[in-house]
Order: sequence, then C-alpha cells, then structure tokens
Amino acid sequence: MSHAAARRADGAELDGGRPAAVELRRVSVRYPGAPAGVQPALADLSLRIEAGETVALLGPSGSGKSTALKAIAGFEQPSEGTVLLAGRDVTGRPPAERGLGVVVQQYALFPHLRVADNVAYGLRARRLPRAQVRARVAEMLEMVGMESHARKLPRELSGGQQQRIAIARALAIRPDVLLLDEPLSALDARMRQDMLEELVRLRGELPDVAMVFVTHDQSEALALADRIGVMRDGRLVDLGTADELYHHPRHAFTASFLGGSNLLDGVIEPLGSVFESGFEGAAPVSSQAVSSQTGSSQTGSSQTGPAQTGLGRGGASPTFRVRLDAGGSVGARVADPGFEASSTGGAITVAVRPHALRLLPPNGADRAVGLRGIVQSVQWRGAGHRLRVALGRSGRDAGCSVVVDLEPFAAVPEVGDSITIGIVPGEAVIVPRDTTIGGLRAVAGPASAGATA
Amino acid sequence: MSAAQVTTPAAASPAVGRPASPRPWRRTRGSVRALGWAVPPLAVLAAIFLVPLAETVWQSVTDQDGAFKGAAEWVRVLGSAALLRALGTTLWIALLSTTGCVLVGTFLAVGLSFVPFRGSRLAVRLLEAVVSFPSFILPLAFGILYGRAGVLNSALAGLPGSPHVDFVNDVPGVVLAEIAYFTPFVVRPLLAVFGQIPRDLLDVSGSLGAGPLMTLRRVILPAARPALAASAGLVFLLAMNEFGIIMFTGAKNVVTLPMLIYTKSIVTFDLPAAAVVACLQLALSLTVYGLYRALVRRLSGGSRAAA
Amino acid sequence: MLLHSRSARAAVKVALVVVLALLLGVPLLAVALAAFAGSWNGVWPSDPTLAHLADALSADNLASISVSLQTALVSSIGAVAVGAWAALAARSARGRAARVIDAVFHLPAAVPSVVVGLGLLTAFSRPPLTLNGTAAIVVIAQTTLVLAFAYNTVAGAAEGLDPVLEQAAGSLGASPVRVLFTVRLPLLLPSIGAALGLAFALCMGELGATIMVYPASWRTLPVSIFALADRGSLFLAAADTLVLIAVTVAVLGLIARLRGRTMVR
Repeated sequence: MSHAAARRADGAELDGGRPAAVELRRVSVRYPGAPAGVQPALADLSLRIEAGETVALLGPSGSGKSTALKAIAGFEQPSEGTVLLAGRDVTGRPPAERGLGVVVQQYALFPHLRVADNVAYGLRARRLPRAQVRARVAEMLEMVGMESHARKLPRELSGGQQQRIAIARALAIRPDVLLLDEPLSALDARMRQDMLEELVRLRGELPDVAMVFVTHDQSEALALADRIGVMRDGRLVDLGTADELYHHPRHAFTASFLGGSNLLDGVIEPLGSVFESGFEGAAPVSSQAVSSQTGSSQTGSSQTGPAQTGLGRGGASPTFRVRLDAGGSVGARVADPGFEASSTGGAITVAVRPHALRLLPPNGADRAVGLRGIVQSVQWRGAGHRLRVALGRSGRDAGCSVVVDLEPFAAVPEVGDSITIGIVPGEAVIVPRDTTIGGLRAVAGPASAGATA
Repeated sequence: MSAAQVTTPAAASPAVGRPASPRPWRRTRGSVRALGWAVPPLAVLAAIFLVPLAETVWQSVTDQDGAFKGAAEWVRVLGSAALLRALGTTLWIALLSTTGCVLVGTFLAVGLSFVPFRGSRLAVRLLEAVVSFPSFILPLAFGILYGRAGVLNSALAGLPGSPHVDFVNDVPGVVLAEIAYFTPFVVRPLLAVFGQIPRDLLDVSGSLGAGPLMTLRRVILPAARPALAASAGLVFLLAMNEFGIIMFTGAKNVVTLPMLIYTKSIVTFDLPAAAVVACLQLALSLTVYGLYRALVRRLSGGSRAAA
Repeated sequence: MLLHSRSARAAVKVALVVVLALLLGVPLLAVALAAFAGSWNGVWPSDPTLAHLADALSADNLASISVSLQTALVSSIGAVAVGAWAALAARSARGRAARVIDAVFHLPAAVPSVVVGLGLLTAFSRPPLTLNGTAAIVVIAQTTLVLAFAYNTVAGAAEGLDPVLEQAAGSLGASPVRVLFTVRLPLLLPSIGAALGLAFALCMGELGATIMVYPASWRTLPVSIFALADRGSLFLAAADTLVLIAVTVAVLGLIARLRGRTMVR
C-alpha cells in the first residue's frame, strides 16, 4: 500500500497544500425524470482522493457507487455539488476535457478497431504525431503484456485480454486519475485472481496516479484499496482504511457488508463501568491475545479513537457489557470514538464476524455467559463448516439467528443440536442501531421454524 | 508475466459451421415433400408474374401480330436518343435521391438516437407511418405548397419584384419528394443499429478526449456502415422503379424509364417498343437487386461470423 | 450523451425539428389543410369549407372508394395466402431449394410496377385468358406487387420459429397437417396479421400497375386522385387523399383489433 494509507480517514488533511487529485463537494446526481421524492442516485457525496492514492467505492448494486464514478468521469452531470480535478472545477465540463482514464464494466472496446487502434484512440484524439502514437501504443501494450495481439480485433480476445486492452487504452493518455468500474466482475473466478494481482502490480508502477474503483466485492476492495468508501442507497456511509473499517466499523452496514458480520441488537447495561475483556466463557483460542485495557474510562474514549491512535485491533477502545435481545450478554467495544451510548438510550447493535464465534463445551461452567441456540443448518465450505444457529432457548424467543464459521478442526454439531456460543474477546463491536438493514440482519423467520423442528 | 499467457481459446475460435445432418437420406426425402408443398404458391407466382414477364420479353422480339421478327425493335429503341436520355434521367434521379436519403436519414437517425428531445418518439412514429401512405401524397403536397399556383408563390407574389419559385415540376421536385418518401427506409434500420450501441462506448470515446464529431466518425458511423450500405441499395432500387411520384409531379421533361414504358404502352400504344424498354428496366432492376441481396448476405454473414 | 454542450444540443434539436417539419410535417399538414380550404393565397388557407370533402364522398367517388376497398382486400388476402404458404414451404425445404423460393418470392418487389402492369397487359390481352378490361386484372396486378412484402413478413417470423415446438408436436404423434394448423399457423398469426395490414395499405395506394391495366369501369381511388391532380384540382385531390388515408387507417385498425382478439384466444 502506498504512503496514502496512513492518511486520516476523512481525507481532510492536505498534502503540503497540493490540491487533491479528485475532490467531490456535496455532489448529488438525480436522474432526469425521476420524481422529486425519490432517493437520488447519488446523495450529497463529499470525497477527496489524493494523487497516488487508491480508493475503492464498495457497496451493493444500486448503492450509487457507479454513479459516483460517472460523476467524476463526466458521464453524469451532478444536479448539485462540485467536482474538482487537481483543484480545477470541472462540473459541467464534458468528459473530453477532463483527461481521466476510464475503464468501464464491459470494457467498451471499439469493436471495429484493432487492438492497437483502440489503444491509440485517445492519442489520435489529441492529434499526436504518428511516430509518438506508435511508440506510446507499443509501450502500453508491453505494459499489459499484450504486444503480440496488436493486430487483433476485440472480439478475438478473451475477457481478461479485453480488460488489459481497456486499461492500456485508458492509461495511454497519461491520466492523473484512473477510474475503474467493477474491473473484475466480468471475469471468471480464476481470471479474476490473476487480474487482481495484475492491478496490484500496475498500482505499483504508477505511483502518482490516483485510482478510484467501484466494486461490490469486499475482497477486491481489501486487496487493492488504500481507503474504502462504503456506499448504500446513494450515500457514503463509511470511509476509512481497510483496517479501520474492518476492525472498527462505525456503522452496522459497514460491519455486515465488509466481512459479513452478524448483527445482534442489544442494550448497554446501565452499570456504566468498563468491563474487563476476557473470553466469553472458556478460552479455546489462545491466539487472540487479551489486551490490557482495564483502566480506560468512558470519557477517555472520545479522545483516543482507534482511527487516530492507529493501534488497531484490541486498542484502547472502551468496552461495555451488552445485554442482547436474543438472550445472554456479551462484552463489546466501541469502534467509533464519537459514539455516545446515551444518545441512543442504550439501544445499540453488536456486530460479530462469523469466525469470531466459538462453540463452548456443552457442560462447561461458561454456559451461563454464552449465547444459547439451536443449530439450523450445517454447510461444508472447504476450509471449515459454517453453521446457522437460531438464538434463544428451544425456539421460544428465537428472535434471530447467527452465522458461525467453525475452525478447521472443531467438532461439528448436528442440525437440531442445542449449543452455546462464545465470542472471541475484542471481536464484538458496538455500532449504532440501524433498523433499515433488515435484509442483512439475521432475522427471525427461518430461525424460529428451524428451532421448533 | 504469467497472467498474460492465460487466454481462453474458446472466445477466439472462429464460428463453427452447422454440423452435418446425421441422416442425409431422410433429409432429402423431407426436402422433396417440402418442395411439393412449394408447388402451389410457385404456380400462382408463375401465372401472375413470371409468365407475364416472359411474355413481355417475347413481345419485344415479335410484331403486333405475334410473329417473330428478331432484334429489329431492339435496334430501333436502343438507337433512340429518348431511351438514352430516360436511362440517364432514371439513374441520375435515383443517385440524387439515394444520396439525399442517406444524408438526411443519417442525420435524423443520429439526432433521434443520441440527442433525443421531447416529441422524438412522435417523430419516429411519423416516419414509420409515412411508409404506409401512398407515395403520391408528397408530390401532391409539394404541388399545393410550391407549385406554380401554390401557396408559396401566391405568398411571394405580394412581395416587391414578385419573386417566383418553380422547381416542383422538374428534377428537384421529384428528388425532394423521393427523399421525403424514402428517408424512412434509411432511418428505421439505422435507429435499430444505434439502439444497439452501448452508451459506454460513447462515454469512453469522450473520456479519451474525442469530441462529438470524432465520436460520430470513429465510433457511431462505423457501426452503421452495413445497415447504411444496405438501405442505400434499397433506396436506389426503389427510386429507380418509382412511378407514382414522377407521375404526380406532372413534369414533362422528367422522363424516366418507367415513365417511358407508360407513355409508349398507354399513350402511344407502341407495345413492342414498351416491351423493349421494360426488358431494359427489368435487367437494370434485377441487377441492382442482385447486388443488394449479395451485399445484405455478405454483411449479415459477416456479422454472424463475428458473433 | 453525445453532445455535452447545451448550445450544440439545442442547435441539433432545432435542426432535427426543421428537417422533419420541412420533409414530412409541412407537406402532410398542407394536404390536410388543403382538403378543407376554399382558397389558399396567403401563408394560411382561407374560406374553410367542407365542399371538397363532400365532393370526395359523392356518388362518383364512393364508387372509386368501393373499388379500391374491394381490390385491396381481395388482393391483400390473396397475396398473404400465397406468400404465407410459400414462406412455410421455404422453411420446410431448407437448403438450396429454400434459397430459390426465397429469391423468387422476393422478386416482385424488385420489378417496377409499370413493368408488372405491362406484363399483365401483354399476357392477358389474348387467349387463353383474356382478362384485359376486367376487374380481375387489377386485382392480379396488386396481388403481384404486394406478394413479396407479404412473403417477406411471414418468412421473417417463420425463421424465428423454434423448431423444437414442431418437433415436440410431431413426437406427440401429430400429423404434419395437424402440426401446421395447431402449432405453426397459430404461432405465425401475428406476422400474418401484420402482412395483411401492410399489403392492404400498399394496395390502397398503388398507382403504377393499376394505371396500366385498369378498365374505365373499375377505377381505383388513386387513379381518380391522379386524374384530379392532373386537371389541377389540387384541393379536391387533397380531400380524396385524406379520405383514402382515413379508409386505410380504419381498415388497418380493424385488422389490428381482429389480430388482438385472436391472439388473446
């Protein structure tokens, strides 16, 4: 990752006064003809991307991430807000005047032009001398390893090869910013891995180019991006380094979309005291070191947010005991330094990733503190087993279910078994409750059905 | 670089031909039966179309009483200046009309596809409706508007110097009417082609620095070339064969081959001479039609191989 | 998407509207207005009148309308019957035979209407079949001219027919005739309806071949309109043209409704 990774999450810090490569100021895009009441395709997006930085816009389809990219490229005109490139206001200017490299989802190679002519397109638009065009085309084709395909037509190339040509064509004009819309989505699984490595290599060869890419695949974002912007319903809900977002999600949506966290509603216990984080129950895993964080008070939390200290996992985040709606209680830490439990009346959501859940021994003394549940389904996933567990005793209050990824050699329970689950210390994160994420929240329907069976 | 060597050959392999039928004998028997089915419609076509055409050819080498007299009529007609003039006029009008239709049709199709405005759908409907109107509605309208006693001239008569327009009853009037009537034949296939061009292609062209003209010339028009060639061929054929429009313009000095056939057979009752001209026109039309079909087959075959 | 500059977009839009108006809008409007104009000496027509329309619907003209309707109906039905049959035969034949049938049935569209008319005059002016001077020769002329369009429309749809359906019907034990009437024809019905509409509209406006072969007793509306225009009675001709288009559109609407009903069933 480049030097930009250490930059502050909100990107507000200026790099020696140099203007950002791309800056969006409160940009909204409303498609013409859409009724006024309808959510705009992109709402009030502010974002700075520095030269040399890679930013991924991550979100489900329809979240506005592609629209954001199109607003930067000039393919869509913002209904409000300003787009700046290297400090220059380009709002309303046509794409041709922006000088960006753009790679669209289906590559959009010109079907009647040979590979070399596709790559030369932007150079010819700039009326460069023939010799220069030829040299630059050769250079670009070499960079993407496609020298031997110069005379071919796009339809004679595989998907991965077309992708390379699209990138070579975009980079031929020496853009300061490279925009990639779902660069890997049209490729099969194996090609996708190769191409991802290729993009990482390209990233290294172009230290000064700002890259913005759009993806719905968190692994692409984690592998390639310095910072990730999580988008939902046309809005940027979270922005930060991969590490920040993964370990300190500030929103339930970020937690569930990036890493597939289980979301468990609960209430912070009114004790108000900081609780010492120990493993919930016994300690079958020793690799998860318990951090020493006993002394920190609730007031201290506002000064030492994880994003600023950069301590990462198990940092000095304040930890609370949370009583879950589904029964049981857990210790969970606060990720967002600005979060105040009092503002929500104590009602919050706890996000836990499937691999941070462990089965507790059936007759251990720890059963008292763990989450009780009934196994609904068991799925073999190669590296290990994935369980879906309906929480609650005997399905009586089966409000929700959780997904548990077992460790490779853990004993596998059977469907219908009554089990107790513990959480690896430091892995449960408190996020503001967001009742709109119904689809991603583990919900009641099938859970109760399985529990009663 | 390892990834570069990974190619999927399936995508690059040429189109595979239709596999041979596993049981050819059965196919032959089926074809024979199918040909039997084709006999009744073919018989009707022969009776009302092929035989009459053959009789016309025969007429051109016989006298009024039906006796064979060889190529005398051909020599007489082919040697006449009127025929050569008619041939020239026919081709000239067809060429002008085709050029006009291609230019106007391309402009309309590009505009309606890529710079849509409120009412552009209505415009497309209008273009499609015109094809089912009788062709003579246009020369009739031109006569009303721009004829010698038409609207424009009576409006102009009030102006000082009483300017005068008079183009309707001549080649320009015919060509304009034909452009108006045949342009939809160019617009419709182009709209279909332009509807298939992904918007991404235009966006990317723009982001690479191409202005609208370069995008038009290097991206849009190349995609339209096959459809444009085919519809130009069709319009040329239709314009060459057109009769109603020229008849309605009432232009005495616009004598095309169809007009010559009409006057020779209906006005002067010189049927053998009319037959010779008809044979010439027939040969010309069929040649153009053959070229048109070959073009369409090659273009569609090319695109199929590409798919 | 192509033009980003607002002024360029506006300019192109204006040019589009102007071209469309001059090419089609103004002429069609002029015909419609002229049909109701007592006189037209300025920019707009004056003395609005229904006299032309009344004239267009007088006894003499009604006969022409009736002749046009009868001819167009019989011709288009005949052409669609023959064309659809040929299209189905071509589809069954496949291979070289299909290509020959296809080429031959497209031919009438390539031959000028005047040549078709002359051919019919030549062929049917003497025994064994003397049709010259009858209504039949007009019907035949129009049938010939629209045959290619009828064939082309149905053949296009037949090409897209999924052979699996027919094979499935055949494998269930249906005879070829049964397959034809229970599978192929119902599936082709929309295209047959479309072919009928197109053929009818073309017949109603046909002039070239009709004017070569029509007898005085069987004068179609376009021939009457031509006679009026030739005399210089442009307003009357415009009124007749309006009537012609109205009748055509009415019948097309009827065909479309019948088609819609059969498709529901």
